[in-house]
Amino acid sequence: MNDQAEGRRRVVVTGVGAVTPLGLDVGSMWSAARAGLGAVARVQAFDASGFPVQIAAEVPHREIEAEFRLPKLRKYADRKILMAVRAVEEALAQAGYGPGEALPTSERFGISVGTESGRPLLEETAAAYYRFKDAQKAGEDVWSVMEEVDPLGFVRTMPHLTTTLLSVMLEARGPVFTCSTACTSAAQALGEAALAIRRGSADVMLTGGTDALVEAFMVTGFALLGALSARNDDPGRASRPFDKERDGFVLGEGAGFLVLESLEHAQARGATILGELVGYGCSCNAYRITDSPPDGRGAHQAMSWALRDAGLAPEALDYINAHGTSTQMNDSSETAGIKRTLGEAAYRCPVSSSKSMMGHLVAAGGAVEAILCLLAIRDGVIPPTINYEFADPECDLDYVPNVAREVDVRYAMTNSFGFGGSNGSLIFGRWDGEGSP
Amino acid sequence: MTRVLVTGIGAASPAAIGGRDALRAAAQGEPPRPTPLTGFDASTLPVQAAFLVPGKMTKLLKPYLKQRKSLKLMSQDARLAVLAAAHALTDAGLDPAARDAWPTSPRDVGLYMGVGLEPGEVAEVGPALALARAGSEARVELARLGGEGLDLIPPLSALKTLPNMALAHVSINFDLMGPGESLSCWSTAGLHAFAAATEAIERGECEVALVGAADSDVDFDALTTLIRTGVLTPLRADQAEALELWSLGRGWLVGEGGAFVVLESEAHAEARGARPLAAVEGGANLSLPPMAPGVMSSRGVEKVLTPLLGGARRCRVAGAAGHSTVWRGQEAEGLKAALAEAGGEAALEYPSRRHGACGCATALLDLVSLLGAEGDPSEDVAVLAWGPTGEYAAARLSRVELGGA
Repeated sequence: MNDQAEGRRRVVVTGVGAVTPLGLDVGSMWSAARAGLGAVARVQAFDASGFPVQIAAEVPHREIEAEFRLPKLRKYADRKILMAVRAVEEALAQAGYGPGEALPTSERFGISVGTESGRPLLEETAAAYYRFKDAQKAGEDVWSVMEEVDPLGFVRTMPHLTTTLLSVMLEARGPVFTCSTACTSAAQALGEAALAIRRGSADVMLTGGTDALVEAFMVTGFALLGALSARNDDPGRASRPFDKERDGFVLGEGAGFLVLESLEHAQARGATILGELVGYGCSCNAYRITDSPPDGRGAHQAMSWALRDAGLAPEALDYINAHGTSTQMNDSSETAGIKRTLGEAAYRCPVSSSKSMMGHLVAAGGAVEAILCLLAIRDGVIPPTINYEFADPECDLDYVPNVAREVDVRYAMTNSFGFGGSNGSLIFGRWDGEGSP
Repeated sequence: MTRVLVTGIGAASPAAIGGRDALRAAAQGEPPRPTPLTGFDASTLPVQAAFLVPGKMTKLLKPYLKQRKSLKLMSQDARLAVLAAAHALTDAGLDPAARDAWPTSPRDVGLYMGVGLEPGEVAEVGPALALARAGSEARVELARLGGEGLDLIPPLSALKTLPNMALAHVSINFDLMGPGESLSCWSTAGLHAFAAATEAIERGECEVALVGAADSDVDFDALTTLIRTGVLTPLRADQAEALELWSLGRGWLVGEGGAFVVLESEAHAEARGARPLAAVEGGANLSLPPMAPGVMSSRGVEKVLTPLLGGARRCRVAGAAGHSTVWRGQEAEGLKAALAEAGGEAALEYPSRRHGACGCATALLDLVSLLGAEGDPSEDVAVLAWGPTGEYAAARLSRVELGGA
């Protein structure tokens, strides 16, 4: 551990919760991930039959529900908030803050969430648009049409609505952050939460990410970019990170949340510690809006800073949960970035992508993948990269192909890289008891 | 602890486009007046004018874009961000066109941004929606939209709705590769970014960071939704009357703008002979759920200001509630309570009168307005931001004499 790391407050994880295409809780997600099961199928959310991309990884239940501690807040919730609330309650319960249990001291309890703007369904937007156009054409009062618009719709588009609702519901009056950095949102939210604890602004931070982009506009948008896999006839094999025949990512949805605490706070209340968040780094690519730099420079920068923040040598990493989207560009760029950061050690460090099983959870990805790192550390099992069939010379690391592997994991890193070139890396360490790791 | 200085400020606002000189001139001149909205037919709306950034964006941005065609990929908030960032860098003596001459490689410069609501998507998908309309019914045939309709949608339209695109455009055009985050929290987002950037320098992740926010809520979608919330001053023909309504606290005048500051460690600023304007003394951020959405609480103001005002010299505080007499009262009460607890002397003022409500950019526009204006070197400045869902944030800075670190 470096000098900087030695003098600061330590940040530990005491609760995790997840709603993912692999299951509605952490246990079912982890069982499926260890077994190498996939969740990609034909889209259920809307009639995608005319679309070039007709597959996605959706959370199993279309009508997802969640218990709200303040039921009056339910009216603000869209799908991503419902998933978030479910994941939050699971994480809080594990941490000893479940319903009926005392919550952390209000002023020392903060919220940090990675998420994107809420979006009305394209179908609803289209209906309002048609009514507006018709009124304009007929010379009618356009404003009277807009009066029909649900004013809560405005509130639901606010990116920070999830953060706000959680803060109200849980009486968390400490620092609040909402990171909106595309696919890096949750990783940066976790990073900001850890920093808030380290600098003493909070003792407990509830942090994570949530996103629900399987709807017509975003499927259209990402399909137009050529970023999505179009293996409509073979959805189970569509998400194939690092495989030579990968042809794009598969949109997923879900939420992941973690309870972070200062070590002394967790120990004082006798909480079970699941692991330690030891390092965080973020960077920008300054390259192109849609492309990753072939040399992996931005990814390298984020990973290097996370290692420096943790005071670790690259050789200390036992596992990397890759961003691994299954696009040609990301996977080769990330591989280059890992090799640049770890040097020869890159060839000895297992790297796997859980997106092969549950698709790309976008703003929630970093949080769910952080949880997978903690579980890998806890159980000594690395989840596989499924659908790995054909080796790509540009992706020549150990990707844990198709089958989970037993490995003693002390330190695990998770990467998140977003459209527009925003990067974030987090490192977790095993907690073996006092003074660990 | 590393001391963090503000060494450059830049704005692209209705009042000023430029660095400290432009902001000083703006502070000494008449406030700008709202101008009629021309981007769409606003004749049937209760708000038909706004504070708009004057001039043609194409021309203003030309010197700073790596590729002119990238303008097409940029929403208005991204354009305002690049323009304000360029002026902040120039103001700091870091010529955007001569990045090789910077004492620190742009690859090591951090970039933190506050971001707001994203531009509506209706305008770009409109033609496709028209094609896919089910006869005269107000609904869309999704299968047709996903088939023939795709050819009518600009390929990058979905990306424009991602909140981090403004950050991406600033990063790309100035080669900034240091630590970077895009934070969203309505009007407090800019100060969240300011705090994160300050901390990145204090932690030694970077020596220099560019921090800013940009917002434009004058497109059809944003404006109509804001009108529906009832926070805007009706603004039709009589602009003078609207300004009077604003000064009476009867609602916001909507605007657009971007503001950036260059933050730098004191050692780095000294080594390169920078001209600092201020030193960061502290920041705070908390959540205090309101009695009802949109209600400001004096307790929230008190809680966020108290830790900042302790030991402060006399302080000019840019308030967040210029649009409402009721909330101005809440704000004044909160400040009074904070001063009673922390000691010191402070007074509220409202620089937002010069640029209108610019969403997430408002607080940083307030900050650069205060720092750019002529000021007493013995006075500190503070900025307060408030989100209608109960978020409070503040920052305090002490002025540093011009002419050397």
